[in-house]
Amino acid sequence: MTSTAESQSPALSSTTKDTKDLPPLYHQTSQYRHWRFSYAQLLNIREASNAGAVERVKSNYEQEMAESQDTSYSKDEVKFLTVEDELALCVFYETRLQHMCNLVKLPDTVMYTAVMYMKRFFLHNTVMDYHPKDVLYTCLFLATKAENERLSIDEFCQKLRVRSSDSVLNLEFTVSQGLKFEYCIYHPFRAAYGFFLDLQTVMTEMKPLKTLYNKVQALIAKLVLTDVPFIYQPSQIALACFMVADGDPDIQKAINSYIDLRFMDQKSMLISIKEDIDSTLKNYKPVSQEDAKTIDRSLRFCANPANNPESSM
Amino acid sequence: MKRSATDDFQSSSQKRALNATHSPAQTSPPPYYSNASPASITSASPQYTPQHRRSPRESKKYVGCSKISDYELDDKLGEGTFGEVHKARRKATGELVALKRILMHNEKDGVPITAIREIKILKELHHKNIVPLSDIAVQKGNRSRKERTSIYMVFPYMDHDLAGLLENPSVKLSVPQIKTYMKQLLEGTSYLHHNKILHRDMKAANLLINNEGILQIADFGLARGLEEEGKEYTNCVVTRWYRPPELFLGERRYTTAIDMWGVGCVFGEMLKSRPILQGSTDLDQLQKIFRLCGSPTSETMPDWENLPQANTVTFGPYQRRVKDEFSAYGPQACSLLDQLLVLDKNKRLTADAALDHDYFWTAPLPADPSDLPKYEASHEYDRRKQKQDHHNGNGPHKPVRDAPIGAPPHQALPSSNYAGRHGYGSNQAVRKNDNDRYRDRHHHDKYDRRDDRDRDRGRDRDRDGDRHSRNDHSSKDYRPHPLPARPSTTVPPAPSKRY
Repeated sequence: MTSTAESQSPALSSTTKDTKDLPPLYHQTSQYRHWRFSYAQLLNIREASNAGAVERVKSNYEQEMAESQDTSYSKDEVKFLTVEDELALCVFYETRLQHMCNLVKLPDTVMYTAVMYMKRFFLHNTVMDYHPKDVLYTCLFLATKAENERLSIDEFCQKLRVRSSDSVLNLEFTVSQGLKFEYCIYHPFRAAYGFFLDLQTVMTEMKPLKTLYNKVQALIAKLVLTDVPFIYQPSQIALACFMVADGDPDIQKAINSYIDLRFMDQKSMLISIKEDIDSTLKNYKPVSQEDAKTIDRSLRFCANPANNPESSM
Repeated sequence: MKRSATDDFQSSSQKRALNATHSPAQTSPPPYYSNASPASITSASPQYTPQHRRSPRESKKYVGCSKISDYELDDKLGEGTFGEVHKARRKATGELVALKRILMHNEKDGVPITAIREIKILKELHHKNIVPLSDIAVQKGNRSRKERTSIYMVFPYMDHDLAGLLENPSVKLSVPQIKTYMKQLLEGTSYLHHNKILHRDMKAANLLINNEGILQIADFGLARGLEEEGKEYTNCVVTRWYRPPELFLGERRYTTAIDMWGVGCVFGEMLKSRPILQGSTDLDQLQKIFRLCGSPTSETMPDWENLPQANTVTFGPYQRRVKDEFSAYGPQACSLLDQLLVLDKNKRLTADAALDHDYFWTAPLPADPSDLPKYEASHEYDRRKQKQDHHNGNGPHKPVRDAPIGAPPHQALPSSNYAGRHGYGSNQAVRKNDNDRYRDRHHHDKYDRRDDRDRDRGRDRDRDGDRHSRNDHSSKDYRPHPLPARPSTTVPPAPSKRY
């Protein structure tokens, strides 16, 4: 194991023939090229999407009212969702998605991919156009296909108690377009497994390492609910999780010596990532059902009527 | 396998280096935002930034994802189990493309998992020898009219594929040409294998070639990512003639070596100008493999007797005669092929090792792709005019010797021989096209009767002996000698359910 691990360490790999000839693999991925943002960029995109949706809904309402001669409410009364509302509603459904995956024992890779599909989709689309409770199932179904965990639509609906398979399938194209058909998601789980193996060079006792590894996996699952996957690379997230997962001084010491051993030249970068992820984890508050209900109630008034089959449009 | 762990760190440091070189304006890239540069200056995702400067209405348009109306559809090139392929022109730029439609009929489970895999893989690959997925076009169905939505994958149009080129008797590949195609094939394959992708349908018909001498691996309909070691996959992959022996014996824990067997078969095919192992059934194929490569022993194929199907077959004993069979093509070619067509998957050359083989480093060296002969592209014919010519009796069915002197060899060829043999991935295309050809014959009975006779004779002829006569024949009549129908890709059964 140590030999493969060493050949992967940056200091050595830059001199081996294989990596010298080829550009870094991660640089060519769609995730690296199209799905990395700064916090500011994320905010800009979401604000633009939100503003666009509000405008769309407003004009559609006017049209609808003109057509149905309904004057019961004016557009000024409609309270639109804010970016924060939308985000909270998404996180609420993303959490539900995670529970579902646990319940029907889908692997973490499918869960992570499905959540990332939702996140990517709702970056450029808004809950006012597409309700996350519908998008959720489509994302999960697409994720089972993309991660080679094939389920037939009937099995899928039966396991997850979805009443109509059409609602899952009808959105497949829309969601795929929202993902720009870039189905490939790179998970921190995989990187975490690599670190778990490589850490055995400094942590000789397996039991605490295994406990640590389990904690890391739980942290990764929690972090996918935040913006962190849009900001950092999978391996950066994984290593940061190893750094923050356990405050025990012995473990901290071991991780520290591991980072000195492998990533001495990048230590300051790693520490700032770790600090950001640490504070993200500390500030993370799950969205309560009540909050979600409140948002959902106001969503009923500001959902785009163009997507409502009962609308007169 | 374990690439993700540290690659990214390496990547991030190199990314910073890249940032520094490519955007000198950005004097000090934020240390840890290596992957998240400030929104305004150097966008990490350039495709997105302009999108959000547009009006909100327009912001629903996605780059790399167009409507089908952006394309002007042309001839259908073929139809297969996985999709149909159309030639088309992108209206905005006029560039020719091939549209591969993902068939949705009878698709109860939505977008087929094979299509998702194919798109997923193609979207991640960027290499000069891998066919690029340039766009996805969507045709929205109308639910009330029961129209289903269709997805088209858009590829640049390439008029030749290696199988079509080799079947064309007026095209004779030179040694430097074979070397450069082979080198490109190996470079593409090496890239795939570095990315842990198994192609699983390596064959001449899936290798597209353009007039710039560039070869590209196409049709990722059966491709998938390699997972952890020991993972079992379906063994119903790879077109029969290119399928490695271990798959016939039921191996399910296969490796990248399965693609390398196909590469070996393609190499042999380039040397001999015809497929080297044309089994008529799976059993016949295995027999042909063992006749060429020797019967399996514990030495040549360790553990072969433990493979699930091993006890169902007994052949031989045969001696290995790869070197004898191909001795005419020189010691280096012979040695490379000998190391590719190896029964033991662990001893078969890898793509990287094959690229280091002396074959590519001894005279004559691989040609510069741009120096290769430029064949007249079949799509440059005005097909309608061609049809008219048919009816006038002076169509493209003209003997080669009547072609203008110095005309590129393809000019005198009926385009129908090429049109269907593209490797964009409709696997039935070949068959269908054969039928077309036969149907055309009846149309032009007067001109083609002799061809029919030849075709029938060709069927009975021993394939090993007919290369010569085929070329003789072609000097009188340019029509390529009919080959037995190429087997189409095995359609894999639905992957077994895991839950």
